[in-house]
Amino acid sequence: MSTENNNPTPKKKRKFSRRKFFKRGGIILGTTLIGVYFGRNIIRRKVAQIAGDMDLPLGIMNMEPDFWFEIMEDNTVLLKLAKMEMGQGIFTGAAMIAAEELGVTVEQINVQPATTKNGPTDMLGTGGSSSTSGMYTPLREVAATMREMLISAAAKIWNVDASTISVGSGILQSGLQQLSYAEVTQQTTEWVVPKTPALKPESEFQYIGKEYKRVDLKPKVMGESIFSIDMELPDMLYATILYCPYIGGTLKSVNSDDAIKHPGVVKVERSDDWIGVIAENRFASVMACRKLKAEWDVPKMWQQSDIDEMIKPENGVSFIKLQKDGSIDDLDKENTFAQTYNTPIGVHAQMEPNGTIAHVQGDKALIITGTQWADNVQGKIAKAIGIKKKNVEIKTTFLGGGFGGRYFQSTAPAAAKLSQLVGKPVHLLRTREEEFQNRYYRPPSHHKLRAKLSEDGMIETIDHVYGSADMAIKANAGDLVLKMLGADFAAGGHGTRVLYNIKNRHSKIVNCKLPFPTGIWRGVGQFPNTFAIESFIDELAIKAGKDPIQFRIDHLTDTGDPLIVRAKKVLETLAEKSGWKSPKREDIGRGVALCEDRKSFAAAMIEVKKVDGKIKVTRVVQVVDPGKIINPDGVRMQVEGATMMGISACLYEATYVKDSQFTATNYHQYPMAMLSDSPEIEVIFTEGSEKPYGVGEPPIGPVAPAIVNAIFDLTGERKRRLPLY
Amino acid sequence: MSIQSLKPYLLFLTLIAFVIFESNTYIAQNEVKPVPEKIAHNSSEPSPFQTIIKVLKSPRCMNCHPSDDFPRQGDDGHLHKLGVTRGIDNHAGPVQTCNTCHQDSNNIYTNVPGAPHWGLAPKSMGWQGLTDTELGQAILDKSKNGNRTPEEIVHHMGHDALVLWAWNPGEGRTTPPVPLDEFKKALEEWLTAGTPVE
Amino acid sequence: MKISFSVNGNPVNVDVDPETPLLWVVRDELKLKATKFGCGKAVCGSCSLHINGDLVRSCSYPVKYAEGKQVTTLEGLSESEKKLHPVQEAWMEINVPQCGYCQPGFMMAAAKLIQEIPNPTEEDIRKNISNICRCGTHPRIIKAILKAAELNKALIAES
Repeated sequence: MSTENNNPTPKKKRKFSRRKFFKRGGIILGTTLIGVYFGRNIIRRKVAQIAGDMDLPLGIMNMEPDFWFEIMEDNTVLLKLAKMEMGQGIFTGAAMIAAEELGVTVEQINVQPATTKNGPTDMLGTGGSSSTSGMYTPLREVAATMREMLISAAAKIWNVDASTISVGSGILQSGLQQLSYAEVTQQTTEWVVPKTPALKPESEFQYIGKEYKRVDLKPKVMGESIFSIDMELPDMLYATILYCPYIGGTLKSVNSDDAIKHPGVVKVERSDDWIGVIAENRFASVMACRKLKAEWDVPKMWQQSDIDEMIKPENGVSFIKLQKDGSIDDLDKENTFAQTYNTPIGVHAQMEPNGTIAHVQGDKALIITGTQWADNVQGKIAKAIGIKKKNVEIKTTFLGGGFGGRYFQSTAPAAAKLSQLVGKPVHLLRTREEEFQNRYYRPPSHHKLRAKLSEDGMIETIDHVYGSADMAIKANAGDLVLKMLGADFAAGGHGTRVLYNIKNRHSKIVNCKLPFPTGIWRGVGQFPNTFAIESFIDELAIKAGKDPIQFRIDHLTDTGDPLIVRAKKVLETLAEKSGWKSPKREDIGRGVALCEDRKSFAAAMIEVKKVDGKIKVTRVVQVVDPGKIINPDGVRMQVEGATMMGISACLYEATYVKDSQFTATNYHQYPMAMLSDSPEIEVIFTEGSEKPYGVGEPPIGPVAPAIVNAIFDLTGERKRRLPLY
Repeated sequence: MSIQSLKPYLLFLTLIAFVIFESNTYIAQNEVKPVPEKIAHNSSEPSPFQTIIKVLKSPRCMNCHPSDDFPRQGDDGHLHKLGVTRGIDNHAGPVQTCNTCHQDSNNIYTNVPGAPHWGLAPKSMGWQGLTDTELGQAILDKSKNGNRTPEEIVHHMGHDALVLWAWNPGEGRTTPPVPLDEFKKALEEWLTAGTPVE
Repeated sequence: MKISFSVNGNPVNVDVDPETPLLWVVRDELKLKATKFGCGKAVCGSCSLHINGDLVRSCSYPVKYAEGKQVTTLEGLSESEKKLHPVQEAWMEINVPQCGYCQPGFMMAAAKLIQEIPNPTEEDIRKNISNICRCGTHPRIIKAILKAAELNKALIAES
């Protein structure tokens, strides 16, 4: 139901005056709502909780309003989605939500990534497990508004009262008269935009809550060209870039004589901090790039031991106390139980390397890139090549994995510079080595936990001090803002707080400065924090001589807080349905852990055994409460995926600093879970809310602690440092 | 000493090798190191057999002559990544074979090594944990060496494309501690001397 | 250098540097994009395809060796969109992919697996495919390969 011919579908569509459209308000209302909603959800709520009336570190709200839907001649609906599909299944969830209110079938909806020209963009990008929770109500409202507009248009055509019209499967009906959405759209020039209509009651849901296969299943099974690496523009050249391979290093000099002579090379360009090789094909650009002889100034030879020191909370530069209930003074006295936990530097290792196709022509730029944050890329391109932001068109594609690895450090500005230089489209693709050695990393962490048990084996006092580096604030707003705020509570802070109702509980996040870029990684702070806290709780349970699940439940005293009620329910379900209480073989160890993240809960029961002397995870039961579930199989996939990634990170994943370089250069030096590590996974739901919350990240939390707790159960050995191998 | 009388001893050695392998260390690791220069110079010229042994015990040869079912990699002889095993006919498989990744030449793009008929030596030619003499005996033993006469085994070692790959192993890999021409010369001299294994 | 071979049953001639990885020839010269670049090190398996029926990681296969051979990519695995290869049919049924990027490589490996091991156990599957997936589709891949083997047996029984 809109205008510009910028979407990838070849189908014809009707043109309408878009301007006239949203001046009347209906659709603007929808998009504006989205902005406020996202802002409130991800950042504002946190800031509000933590720092009272403090302003947003991300204050930019100037979302360009645009249309979400187009009705096609074949009576399908194009949904242009600002949220990127990177495997998490958001296209499927969005199609179901939209279909529900729009009065069409899920199959009639064709979801495509919005470009900056043809659809809504999202100033916060796609991440933080926020897409479904953030879009649920606004998308329904936009879809319902659209349905009402179609109804009133049909009422006018038939000259009947709108209340006589019913809709279903994209067909409007009044008495014996029928018109398809496409037909009504073709016959309508003036639209009446109603106030936001009432939404369907849950009892009338046709799609939400039902099992649906992915809407992108077929293209992915057939291997269609859907990723940015698959895109081509006519006359396109290929680029490979050499960045400084040393932490903090700068480019001193480069001899590119051999590279430029390499057959197929078109141009070698030196920028401030990188050297780009442009060639007629990918092979030539990579091979010529290897022939560059660069010298680097390396101010300091960092070693892993330096990093391990810097990440200790006592060496941090600033902090925020996130919890301060009661007093922890008695922890200085005797009978205090204290432990330290560590997690290593992590790499995203998403399967599709970062890359961009850029075509700069005069003061205009076309950018095709798989990014979690198109809005941010647009501004960066404008800055990099000195053109206006509105002249930068970003087309996004399906993403070959994200996990936080496509938020910052976009390849687009460099690609745009290279394209500007040669006057042709340039496809810049990072090598896997660059993806491992030259990017932002999940920061390592160092946790200090102290607690005191009462005589009856309850936790009286607990204190969690968590040292780690920035994940989101510095990357967005700079070091100064980070220092002003104290530490990265927005991303890294997830999971720092102690969930259990303990009278005296303190927790704080300490901002430690590291010499290399750090950023978000699936689960953000929740991954390291849950590992530390839930390992510690297990140690306390054993010290108290109590069953680890019951011990946790005992500390979730009912205060009327719905979060506590949900947490308890998740644990009770786990105890009941996971086989926790059933007899087990001697060669099996069992462990549990609980995690709250973004108001979703996940609790895991994990069984391990030793095979050929190595720990193997054999069975995982996750009880997950993500609130309202849109697509059960979609949630199941996310839980399975997070479980595998959790096993991988717990058992194998780490890179280290040696002589200012990262030790892992490619997958062979960054081992990850494979088919041989895949356990039996069972996913159980407890829907504890009418509102959907995120599910991409929460279920990664309990995996690592449940594994180490199970190892303790099996061997009596306590693992406090990841990875295990 | 006949092969028969060696059997219990070999069995014991294999057992030890297996136990040590299981505990994640690698028995041949210390033995693969080239003979220190000092010793070689202090004694008289190394015998042809000693020269040959230096080559055979280099990681380029040992890694594909395991006594168990697991190929090795690198100068430290670590287990081949990705869980590769001996598989069918010493060429892994049946789904992923050696040729899934290794072709007839070293790959200049991926730096994956390659040579014709890339694969493991048969298990009978497993060399891990053998003393020099045992290794010498093993390569001459027709029941283990593919039914080759001494002439044939010497020809094989001096001419086979996969053996010669050791001197052209691709970027970043060490070559055997003896140059190829010296190795070939030692082979001829060894044959002439009647292939002594001391 | 001019090199001739067949891809998915069609003869092709390319004129490229003979050392060019088959991966880039298939993707950029022949425009068959299902075969993916993941690591450039023959480690991840995203670029898996079949050459004369053998499973090959095409990033580590110089195109010069393809001369006269038969290459099959995911695009050529199924007879048609209506008659899917058992592996692709099973992948649809089990709803396997998440981001989908590694899936072509996994499906090519799976197709070879059910051909070599028509009655695979879960353990056979775990041991015989070393491809990497970051989204964690492993449990479903195992299920889908078991399913594909069943479908394949039914196909063979029919014919």
